[in-house]
Amino acid sequence: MTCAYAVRGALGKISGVESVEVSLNKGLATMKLRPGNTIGLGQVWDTIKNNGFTTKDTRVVARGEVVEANGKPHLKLTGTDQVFNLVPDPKAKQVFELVKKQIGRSVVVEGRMTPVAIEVQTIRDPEKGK
Amino acid sequence: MKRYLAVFSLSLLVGILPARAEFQQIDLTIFGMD
Repeated sequence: MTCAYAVRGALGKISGVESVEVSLNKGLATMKLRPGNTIGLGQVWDTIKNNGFTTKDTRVVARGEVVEANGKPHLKLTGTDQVFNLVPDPKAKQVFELVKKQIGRSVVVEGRMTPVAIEVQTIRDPEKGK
Repeated sequence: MKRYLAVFSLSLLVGILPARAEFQQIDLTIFGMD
């Protein structure tokens, strides 16, 4: 049993995961998730750690409602009550101007993840671009 | 009449259901601790 197989198996057991691809050569694990999942990043990071690996970077595609708190936009994942700060990606600052106009609306955002924030790289209407 | 009620009820239900909110994909850059 290779380490990649173990990591893939462990991540695949998380409820709500549709598929997992792991490449240790590239140092990359890609998880596609089922609609309606309630997966939290904490359990993903813990699974990686428990299988002997360290997460260096996390990028997400997330659907949620943009809400305002303390004058700043956040993404609310109502299925898990998770709320993440939305912050500008240094390489895509113009995208963040769109984010601020989406308060109260459902969007799909892509970006780099930190424990409490998403650096927004792209944002789109969830009903488009599928 | 029944069909109308069914369509109306379904429309109402869709309208009050919360929009889906979730992670769709997670990409992780990882390295091993051998």
